[in-house]
Amino acid sequence: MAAEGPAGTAHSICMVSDFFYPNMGGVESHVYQLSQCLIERGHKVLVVTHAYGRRKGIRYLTNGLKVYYLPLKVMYNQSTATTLFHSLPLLRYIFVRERVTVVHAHSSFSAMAHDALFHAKTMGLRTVFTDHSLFGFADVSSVLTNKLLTVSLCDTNHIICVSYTSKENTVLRAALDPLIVSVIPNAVDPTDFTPDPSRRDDSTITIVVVSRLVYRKGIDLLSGIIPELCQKYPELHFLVGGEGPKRIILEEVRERYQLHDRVRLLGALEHQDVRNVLVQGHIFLNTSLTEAFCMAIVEAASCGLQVVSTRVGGIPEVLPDNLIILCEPSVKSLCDGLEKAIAQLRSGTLPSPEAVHSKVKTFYTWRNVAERTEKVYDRVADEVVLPMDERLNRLMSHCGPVTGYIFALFAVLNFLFLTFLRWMTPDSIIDVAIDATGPKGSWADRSPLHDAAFQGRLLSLKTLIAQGFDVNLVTTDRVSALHEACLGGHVACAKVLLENGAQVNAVTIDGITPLFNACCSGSVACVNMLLEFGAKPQLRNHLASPIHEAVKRGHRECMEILLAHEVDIDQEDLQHGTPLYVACMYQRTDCVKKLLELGADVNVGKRLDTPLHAAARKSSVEVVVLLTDYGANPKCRNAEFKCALDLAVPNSKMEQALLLREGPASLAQLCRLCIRKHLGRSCLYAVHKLHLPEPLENFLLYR
Amino acid sequence: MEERRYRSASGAPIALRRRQHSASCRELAVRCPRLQLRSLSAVTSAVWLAAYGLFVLSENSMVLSAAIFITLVGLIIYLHFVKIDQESLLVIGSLGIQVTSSYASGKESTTFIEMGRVKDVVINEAIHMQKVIYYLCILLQDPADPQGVSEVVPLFQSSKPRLDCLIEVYKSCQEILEQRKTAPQSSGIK
Repeated sequence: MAAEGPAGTAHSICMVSDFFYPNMGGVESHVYQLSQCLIERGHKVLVVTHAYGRRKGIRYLTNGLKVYYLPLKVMYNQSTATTLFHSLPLLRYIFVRERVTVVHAHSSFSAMAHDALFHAKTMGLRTVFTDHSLFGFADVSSVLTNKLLTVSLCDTNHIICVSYTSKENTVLRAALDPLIVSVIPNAVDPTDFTPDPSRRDDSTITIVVVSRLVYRKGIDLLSGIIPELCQKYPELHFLVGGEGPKRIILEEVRERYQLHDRVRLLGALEHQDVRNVLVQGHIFLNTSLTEAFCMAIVEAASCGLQVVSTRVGGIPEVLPDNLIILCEPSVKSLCDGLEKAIAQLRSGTLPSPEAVHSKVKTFYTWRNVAERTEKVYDRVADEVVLPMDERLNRLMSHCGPVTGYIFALFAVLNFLFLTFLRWMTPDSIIDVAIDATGPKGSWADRSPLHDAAFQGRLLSLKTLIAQGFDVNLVTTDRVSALHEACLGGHVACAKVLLENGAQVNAVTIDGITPLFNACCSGSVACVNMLLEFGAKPQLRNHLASPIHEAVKRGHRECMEILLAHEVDIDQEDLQHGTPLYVACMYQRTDCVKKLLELGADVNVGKRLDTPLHAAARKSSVEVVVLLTDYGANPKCRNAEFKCALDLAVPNSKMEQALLLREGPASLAQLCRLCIRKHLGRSCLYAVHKLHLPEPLENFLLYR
Repeated sequence: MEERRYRSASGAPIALRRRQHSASCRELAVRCPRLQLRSLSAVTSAVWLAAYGLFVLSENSMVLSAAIFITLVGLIIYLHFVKIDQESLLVIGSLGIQVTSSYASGKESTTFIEMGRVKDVVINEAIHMQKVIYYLCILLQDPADPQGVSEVVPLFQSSKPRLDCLIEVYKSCQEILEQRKTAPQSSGIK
């Protein structure tokens, strides 16, 4: 992380939106990613949202991003009720204690965002607003929301839209001066969306749709397209990810045209699973009827899929013409577009997924978004906030005679309320919050020794020690320099530290030892040396176990070294289960193989879940074959009373593999298992003592 | 013994008294301002005025006697159950932490937490009423899972000192807890 200092001054930014994690969606990830990049650029950022269930109060996320979950009542669709006044005491308290300079509100659906803008203007703070959605002008509800937006935005310092279409829409809706509206598109994390052509099945053509199944996303169009194209192209498959009220329509279509094997509905997807669905397809279809900026098509293009989309809202601006086929929002036009894509695919004229990915990844990055947002903040910081009289004038002249006067009255009442609050608890009584954001925040009390150790700068490390730095100096969470050296996998640094008396079994607050970190980085030399200096290979039960970490990351050699130092191969961790179970969970085939060879118990996993359950869930056929060969019992049932077969995806290779092994095993297999059972865990060595002919020996040892 | 003046989160003046009994035994007491005659008389006269108004309207003298009765009972309940004069914390390194609150009537309520159950003493932030405040709390160890926290015991709940005062108390507590932590470890290595 290169923390280049901000060009201008560092701002203290408060992001306000009703929508934030644990809720999932475009606005949520926008707020999070933007905040992280701004922190990286040296600003202080905090997020204010409403309480989600039991998640209320104050939480810290990565890099000390502070999130306030305020106990406000949720009215509708995760948006809070607005009275314009009740949230003032808390928001004012937060703005004062965090010394906020810019209030940045997100999403016009969020009542809290509008409240915060209103209060911030009363308090004389700079305000920025990001609009994430498009609206109509025709029906009553849009007329009302547009009116509210006009009121809310007429005295906001700056407005950010995600596309030019969105800007046009917002400027018209809220009757704004276009000069104070900037366009900053959303970004996609390109490292999360990489292509993987091996995952597609090239004997068929798969069309992927990932969207919420609601009217706005044009699911009715999709239900018209599916039967038409499926009749024309027998090798066509549909993969639909997402959940929503319109799912029933797709299910009906599937039922009516008997397309169960060709149209798969995956249900709700976690964001991290989206990539795994995308890479299975050849063509991505987006049928949205309205869209300010479509993230989904950028993600799909980043995974190397050909995108077919409706020409609505800001979509035409998102991708260059050679990466997208645009159609009118009708079944016929979309079918034509898809047929064109299929024809291109068959003739092989499409660019390769890697080429598309390398092109797309340069388009939209969060760093770029943060840089441009920062410019908006710099500009806003130089502007003046309207004083009360001018604000009232603006409201009355700008928002029509009735609404204008009503809201001018509200603004006055809000100001009186604020004056009352200032009299009750003066600003001087409010404690300034401790700033914990960013790498220089108070969480990070790393010494130069830690930095040198982590980056593997041997020379400066030696100098620092010679200058009298204590090698056992720890941070607040008790991380020592040795921990850092091992995490970076720098053997030479670790050696110097150990020779100067660093504690080899030092434990951090999270129960992590240097050995654990060495296993995490996969440095064999580090592991060996730590063990030489007397590191305990197996720790008391509550500390994070090195062997589990090594297996999880697929560092087979580290695992073998630990096992050679008499770590219990079937050590069951409460959180992770046995090493074999972890290996199956993370699909580390070579670790699974080695563990089984060394005599790990094939039926012990995590409580009632066996390794076979884990492998079945992760659909790794190779691991399942290995496990069953070593005598895993496919009939074991887990806590939910399901056996491995119940966990496999229907009609997959996984299910076939498990079904093949349903019946009784062959006699040879049974004999082999029986002999191995009698020989016990040391089977690998004991077999040699039996002096069997070589073919038999090899059979027993699975060679 | 030393005494320092601070302010509470609502701006009222409070005093922190620190008494060092021995190297590993320390007493910290936060004293709130006593009940002011001014506020007492203000509340009483407000109640009586309201009662008098009712009396004029209803012409029933029961209202007046009820008002006197209510003020008296209210005052007793307030002094005995609500108004806390002093909250103190006695930290003994080898034994545990004793939390005492003394009410204005002289009633005292005491809880004792064994050192074995104390995981740590920390300063946390919370949203309280319409404020966001810092508070000091004791984290209790979960007997089933040594890494987990089974319960959080907030301290100085009625006086709510500001951050500067809390840091002072926090440092004192940590000094003693630190002794406890290093003692068994060094013997464990040897």
